[in-house]
Amino acid sequence: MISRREFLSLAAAFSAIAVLPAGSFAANKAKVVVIGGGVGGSTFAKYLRRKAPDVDITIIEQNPIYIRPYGSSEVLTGHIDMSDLEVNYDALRNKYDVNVVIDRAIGLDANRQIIKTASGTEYAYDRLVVSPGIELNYEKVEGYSKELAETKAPSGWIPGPQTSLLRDQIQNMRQGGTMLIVAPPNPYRCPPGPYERGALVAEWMQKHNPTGKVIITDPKNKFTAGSNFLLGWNRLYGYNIPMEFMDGMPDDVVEHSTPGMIDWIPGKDGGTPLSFDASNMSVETEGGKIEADVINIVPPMKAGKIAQQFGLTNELGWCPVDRVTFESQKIANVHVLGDASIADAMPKSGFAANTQAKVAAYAIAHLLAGETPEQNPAFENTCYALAGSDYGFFVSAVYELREGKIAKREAPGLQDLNATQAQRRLSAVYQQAWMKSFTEDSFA
Amino acid sequence: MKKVMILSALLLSTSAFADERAEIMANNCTGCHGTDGVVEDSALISIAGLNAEIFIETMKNFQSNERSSTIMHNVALALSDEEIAAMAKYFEALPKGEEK
Ligand SMILES: Cc1cc2nc3c(=O)[nH]c(=O)nc-3n(C[C@H](O)[C@H](O)[C@H](O)COP(=O)(O)OP(=O)(O)OC[C@H]3O[C@@H](n4cnc5c(N)ncnc54)[C@H](O)[C@@H]3O)c2cc1C
Repeated sequence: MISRREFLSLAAAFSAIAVLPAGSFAANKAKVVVIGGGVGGSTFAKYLRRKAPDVDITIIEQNPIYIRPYGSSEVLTGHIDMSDLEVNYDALRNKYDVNVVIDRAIGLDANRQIIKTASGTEYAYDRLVVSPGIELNYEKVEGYSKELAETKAPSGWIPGPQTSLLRDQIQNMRQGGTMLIVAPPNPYRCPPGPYERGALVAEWMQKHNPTGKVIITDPKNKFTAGSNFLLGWNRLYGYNIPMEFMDGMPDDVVEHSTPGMIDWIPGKDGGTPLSFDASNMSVETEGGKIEADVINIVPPMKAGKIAQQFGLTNELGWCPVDRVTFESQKIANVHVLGDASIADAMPKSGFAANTQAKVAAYAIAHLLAGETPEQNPAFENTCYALAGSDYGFFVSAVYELREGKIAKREAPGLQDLNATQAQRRLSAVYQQAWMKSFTEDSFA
Repeated sequence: MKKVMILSALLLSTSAFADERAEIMANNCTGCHGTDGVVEDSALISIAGLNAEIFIETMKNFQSNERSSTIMHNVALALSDEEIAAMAKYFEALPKGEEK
């Protein structure tokens, strides 16, 4: 914390510094300020340092330890602990000479190019990078609220206390109880996430609550890697695949005579959620009321709140950006990365945030040096997903710019439905290995 | 420390952006295969220092499924021959993990 007097003198010092013209960083260091030390912000800072050894880089992050969202559903089944999600900023500070400040950004003066934080400090920037992740719009589900998510029906889509509450609720559920997952509308963070979570809980139930059940109610009629999930659920949890998804399914698909442990209700069958009733633990859907012992609601979402406050979002709540530099189309010299940005065909995933951050880091290194960035960048997304701890698959794609938008290159994007058991198992092995190698590439 | 940084900035300014596109493409690999193609204690393999011809042949075999894979079949099919060759050259020049 700094005192008011220190703050005033700091503020005076800042206003005395003239904003540096681009290209002058030999004498006076250019200043880059990053809001959010998650996947996007941290990868950006690390890769900018590798390109621009002489730039002043500050990350403003509200939490001293990052709790990674990717892999966080594994906490629910006890596969990993909450502490296994923790990532520290030691390498960014010590190896990459990044000034990581634990504070919350609260204000932007876009004319003077200054960021204000909750502690009262001001940071001048030549380029500002905002990677604040998402804000969950709990109130978009009638009867639901942040308070209810923290006490009764957790969302757990930004990991933290809601994740451990959900874990405890699942593990203490009565035998034969039901967990209801309410899936969100598009677009949202981690498209396969709600379905992977349902599968992992079903697998846990096979051991610990064999008469338990998972229901996923959904406003959508299809979802990412849907066929791979439905096939995995058929093989592992007695799920019956709807006719319209049978195209291309392998021969071993079984028609089960009893209801399986997992059920998915798409929008066309009444899955669209209407309201949550906390007093009798039920969700009203277009198809009727569903009561459950544990209710996990993944509400609609928008760009992180600070992006909205700064005026970086469009009417739908996401941030339009230039696809080469990720500079905001709303405010000059401000760039937006990761889940908060509009990246066209790219999903809101950690891998996407990581490759966007690298492209933006190179572009900003050029801009600070008064040069033109590479105009033909490429991005990638790879997300391994699980239907069971030994049963994996993936989505993958390479992206390029086409007419100013990010477009997916023509190539298969999913694991083949006829993949062998060894390939399924390997995907699960790589999913676990990726958690570590990806965290290292982003933060260390 | 500071002197070293300024010196490396000078060195970088002459060469670093020369073949930037290959580097940007290669950065898409490192989210799994580690920064600069080096990953330690992992089921995923390091690709730094890999002989360029072997890199290219392996990608071809991923494309044709001659070599069985998980995501690499799809990723290899999404890349052009020139891109694969440029990435092969880029990774070949990087030091292997133990040499770093
Ligand atoms: C259950 C689940 C599973 C997932 N699995 C995968 C997966 O397998 N693969 C994959 O690629 N992705 C996965 N993801 C998605 C991935 O975690 C996100 O897409 C990624 O974290 C987005 O990065 P980001 O930088 O946009 O946001 P974040 O990583 O959320 O970082 C945002 C940071 O900004 C900080 N912040 C926000 N506002 C302020 C402020 N005003 N001041 C200071 N700091 C602020 C936050 O504290 C946070 O640290 C998963 C997500 C979930 C929920």
